[in-house]
Amino acid sequence: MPIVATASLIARPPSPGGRGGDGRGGQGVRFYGTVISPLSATLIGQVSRSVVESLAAPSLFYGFAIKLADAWLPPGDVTGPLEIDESLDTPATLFTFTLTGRQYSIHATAATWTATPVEIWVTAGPIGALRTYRRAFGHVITCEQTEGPEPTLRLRCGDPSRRFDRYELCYEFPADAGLTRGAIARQILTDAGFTADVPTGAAYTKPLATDSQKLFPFLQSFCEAEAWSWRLPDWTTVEAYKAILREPPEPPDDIWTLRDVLSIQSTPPSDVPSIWVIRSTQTTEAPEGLKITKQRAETFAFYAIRRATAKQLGDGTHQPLNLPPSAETFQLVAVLETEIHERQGLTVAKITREYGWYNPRAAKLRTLGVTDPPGPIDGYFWAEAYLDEEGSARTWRQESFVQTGERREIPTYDEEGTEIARRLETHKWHSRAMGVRNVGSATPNVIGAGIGDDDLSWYPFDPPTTALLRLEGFGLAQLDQITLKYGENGAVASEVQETSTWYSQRTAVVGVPWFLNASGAGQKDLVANFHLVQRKTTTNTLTEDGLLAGTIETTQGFVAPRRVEGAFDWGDQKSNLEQETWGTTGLKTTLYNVLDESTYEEITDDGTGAQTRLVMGRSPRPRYRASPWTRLVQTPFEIVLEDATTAAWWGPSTEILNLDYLQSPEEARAVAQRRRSRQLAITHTVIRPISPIRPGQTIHLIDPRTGLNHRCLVTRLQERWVLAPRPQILATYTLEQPL
Amino acid sequence: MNTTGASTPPTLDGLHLIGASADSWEVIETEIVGTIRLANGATREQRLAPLPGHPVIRRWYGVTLDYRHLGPLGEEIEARLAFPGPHDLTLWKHITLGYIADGTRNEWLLPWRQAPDHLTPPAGAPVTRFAPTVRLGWGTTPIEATFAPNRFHLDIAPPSGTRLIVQVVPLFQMVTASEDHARHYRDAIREPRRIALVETEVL
Repeated sequence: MPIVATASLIARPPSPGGRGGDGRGGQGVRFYGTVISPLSATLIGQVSRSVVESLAAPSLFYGFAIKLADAWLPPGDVTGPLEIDESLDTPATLFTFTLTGRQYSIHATAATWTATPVEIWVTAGPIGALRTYRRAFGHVITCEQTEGPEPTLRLRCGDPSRRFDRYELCYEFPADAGLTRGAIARQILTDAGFTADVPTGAAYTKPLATDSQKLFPFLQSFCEAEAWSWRLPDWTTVEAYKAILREPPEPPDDIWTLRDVLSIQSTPPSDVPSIWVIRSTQTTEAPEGLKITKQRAETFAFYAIRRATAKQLGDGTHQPLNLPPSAETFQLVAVLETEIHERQGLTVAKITREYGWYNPRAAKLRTLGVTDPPGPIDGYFWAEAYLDEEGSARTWRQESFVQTGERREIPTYDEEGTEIARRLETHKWHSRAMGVRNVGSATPNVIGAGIGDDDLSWYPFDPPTTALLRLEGFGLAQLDQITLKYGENGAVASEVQETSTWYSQRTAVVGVPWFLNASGAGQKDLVANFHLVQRKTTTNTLTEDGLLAGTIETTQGFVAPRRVEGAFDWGDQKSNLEQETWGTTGLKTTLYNVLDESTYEEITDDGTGAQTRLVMGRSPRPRYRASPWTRLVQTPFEIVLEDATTAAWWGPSTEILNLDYLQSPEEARAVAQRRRSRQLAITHTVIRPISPIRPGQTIHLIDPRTGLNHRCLVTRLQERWVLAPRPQILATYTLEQPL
Repeated sequence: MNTTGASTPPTLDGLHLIGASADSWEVIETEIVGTIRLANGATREQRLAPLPGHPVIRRWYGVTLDYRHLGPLGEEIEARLAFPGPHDLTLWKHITLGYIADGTRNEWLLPWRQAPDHLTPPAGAPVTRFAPTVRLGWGTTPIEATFAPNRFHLDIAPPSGTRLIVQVVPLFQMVTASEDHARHYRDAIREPRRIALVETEVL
């Protein structure tokens, strides 16, 4: 059959042939020809179909031999059928056969149930033109043994890809690394010990982390956009090939009519989704300038605003307010606003604001001044305050809808975009401790301190022009400054968190020149100042490859150690110190022992003895230095394909696919079309004598009885070789005929 | 072929079965072939691939000799069948084998020993009547060939694809067929016996 084709030629040595074989090896159609003009790259050749047609003779001879652990098995020991299963959708070729003999018992040898090399060599053809070739090869997976005088073992085997079923990948490729899908696949396969025969494919611009995925499932999903299928032509080579239906004018790989097949069973497509939704992300350059994203969440609920029931007057009496009771109404109860500021893909600020119903605390008692005589209540005077249903002293007659919190996160980056520091401001309603008298004074002698419901004295925020003292103010209540230091391997080596808040060091209550709170506790400042109160230093213990082996957490703050016979009386304790001093308050070590991929052991010791616990999940990982490619951002995209035909045929149905390795809507569209095309195909199950046709090839299938006359893609092949009591060697092909 | 019909009595374990004639010989040839019927109605056959040098088709033989009366053979036949196989049996008849030349091979294997090499034909029959022959192609005359136990060879390898037709008188190695035999005694004199043997292979 003369043809003209444009082709790329790949030279392959023929397989060596087996026992009694002709040594020619190889399968399928043979091409002979010459390139006439190298410039036009046109090959005019002659196709020999002798191999194909040799398996269509009326009388054919078959046989197979098995080599297990480099030794040929005696034919008499191979008693059962040989079955081979290969598919377009998996690189794995599975095959099974049966052995009988005491020497194959699992008690006598490990060769029948461990990964022993095994090869299947078959002989087939008409007499005088028999061909012997290696049909399958790989390793034993396992076996099922039936006991008896002579044990019978059904051995299940798989090609070399099966040995990598448990092989986990650990790769990270940055975005825009200049690699194609083929180059990435080649690198991964080469590292696994394979020779990769993989086309180039499209440039992959997204960052890629394999994240403990298995080798071949990863390759299949990663390269789905290229429409590659995978197979192993020999022990070490992994080949990616495009399995697509060959359209005219290209000839099909073979034409099957009723004279070639025993039966054809056809199944129409069914329940094909009418809407395909494919989601993924694509890499885009981060926009210049400041990008501010705001989100606001409002919560509505049945809520009764709390109102005061009485007002405490300056003489201590309670004056009923006779306000109408608040009813529960469906109203706004909370607002959460989030504001994210981004510049070139980096978050430069994140602000969260909370609003809600609130009424700040007020003083129940107060101090008047140095010259005033002591008040009637333990030296204090009554303050004015509104009393709510629970009797708590409040500032306002009823709750107001006010801001209740604000948190500002402001990271600092180095030139490469790595976060090196972070400032966290917490604004909320807060109080500041205030003394009521000097140490040694018998009565309160400080002007304008308020005593709250908690019997502690606090600073009044409003000027003390009235007798109503507000003990809470909205503003900066806490400041956390985090500084990160990175090691050579890019992981965070240490993290220092410094916390500042309104605080006054505690002191002794006798013989010191400072102040006493209404509770009787000593405090160094009359009013608490805003200053550093805690420093937490976390030092990471890192492995060589930058993983977290453990942490050492040191906490510093103000502390005064207790002493039973201490020189200074603190009221509730004794100490040798007259005031709190800055020192180490805690030391905690943590160790992580990874037990398996989903469990780790955490050993913590805070000075009270080590405690161990098992934790499900992955052990914590340190923060890593960012790469320049973090300036690239991934934008989610979604494509939707609607199919009115399938909706009309089977009703509406949606298939949603999250395919992480697609990098553009065009790729997603192509993948969706391919998946749809395969689902929307008539499936033919053809039983016929074996042939050289393999999954991925194109068959023109003709059945005049049913009007079938179409090209089909071979997607699966199952061969069954039965030699006894009479030979029956048949292949079951699954063919897909696109509509 | 000089051995048409059942002109020469068989020989079982060296005993020429002369003196009592069997009422019938039944020879069953078993051919290991499977057939599949294609969708257009045609049938294809599937056979076991022969090993190099072996005949294209290897048939396995079963022989049933049905005696209404064993007569003088009774004692010796029973003495032989009192032991398990293999029993040597020849029917003193030629069997035809086919080989396909590959252009290089000039020696081929026979599936059996040849009876004339091990036994003297009964009743004074000439050995030449049971001699093996080799022909190259259909409708040709026998050519010179050298036979050895279980093999034969030609001086020159025939061209590739040449059909070799070989006729030999085999000395089968048999075991007793797995079937129950009923002896129907019709009178006080006759000793009926049905001998059913099937071919085995001695490795």
